[in-house]
Amino acid sequence: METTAAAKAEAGHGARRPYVPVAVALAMLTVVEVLSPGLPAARNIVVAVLLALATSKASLVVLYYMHLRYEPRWLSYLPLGVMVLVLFLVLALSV
Amino acid sequence: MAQVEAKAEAGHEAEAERVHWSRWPPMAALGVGVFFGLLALAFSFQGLLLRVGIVAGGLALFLAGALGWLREDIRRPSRAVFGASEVSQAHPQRVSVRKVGMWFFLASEIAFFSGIIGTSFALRTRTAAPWPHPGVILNVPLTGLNTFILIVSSLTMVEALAAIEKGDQRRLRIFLLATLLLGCTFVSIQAFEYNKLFHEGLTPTAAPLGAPAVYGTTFYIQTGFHGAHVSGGIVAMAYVTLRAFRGGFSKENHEAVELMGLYWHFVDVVWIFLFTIVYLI
Repeated sequence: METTAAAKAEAGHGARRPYVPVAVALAMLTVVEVLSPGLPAARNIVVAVLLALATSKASLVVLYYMHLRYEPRWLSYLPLGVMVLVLFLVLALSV
Repeated sequence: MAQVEAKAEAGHEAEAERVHWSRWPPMAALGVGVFFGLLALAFSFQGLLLRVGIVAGGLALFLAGALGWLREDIRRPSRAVFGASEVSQAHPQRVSVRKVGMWFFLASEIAFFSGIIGTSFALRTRTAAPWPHPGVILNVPLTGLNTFILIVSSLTMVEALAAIEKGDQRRLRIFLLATLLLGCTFVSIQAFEYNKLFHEGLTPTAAPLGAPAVYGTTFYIQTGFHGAHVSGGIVAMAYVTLRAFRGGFSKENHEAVELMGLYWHFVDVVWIFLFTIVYLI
């Protein structure tokens, strides 16, 4: 645990962060997204896959490009806290 | 010798005191108070000119305070931090107040866009007429390309930050300029698409090919607010880029680049969801 945290802090300062690999992953996931409505699968499954792909892409951007992976953990409670409110909003709207 | 040091220290304290004391925040607060307080009272006054004058006066005071504050703040690096004191190098807990402020703003933006996307989804589920299949009205390949452009602009933005963290001015300028141009390309393609869709009959109050009119409404509300955010980002990006070309950032002082990046990536994240929800589902 200690070493991971230390490695994290180290990555935050010196080592090169994986910006280009993340961009390549984002581009590849986008290609999969554009092709997936044509898949011969049930619509519900396609929608679930698409939402999972979008969430993965957004997580990559937030963790690596917005540096939340390298920040103190308490900072991520801010957007996560709002996500809880958003969940209530979506539930209320879908009733 | 000791006297000189003591004098220097007193000088530093005076400097710190001067930095912490600013007339702008109370001025902005007073402006907000006057604006909202008198907005409530304004309608009990006689005469349109007096009403408008009172409300506009409060608003002007707030804007002057906020802009003065921004101008003062933007000119020097901030050392103010938020969070527990640093425990160790391995467990950094402190974050600059400006970054915390930006995250608060982005959290409010999450709520804003969730409201818009959630309402559009609720309208869709309550519409009896069938929703058009993906790609029937909207151009998915073109928007897929636009999504790719926005992703690349996020990469160039984060590379600009990585460059100035090492003090590399040349790469900072190249990558900021690239981000600015990619952002302009994104908005241009969106404008081209809007123009084409309008001619095909997709407007905020109508939709072609038997699709419900609310299809057009939700499409323009969602992509329009996002496009407005990108456009606002472009204005801010132009300012940051101009400052970079004038040598306004250094290895030690480049927080504006980082905060600009946070906003830019956030707009990218919103688009990732919008592309899926509006174009592919």
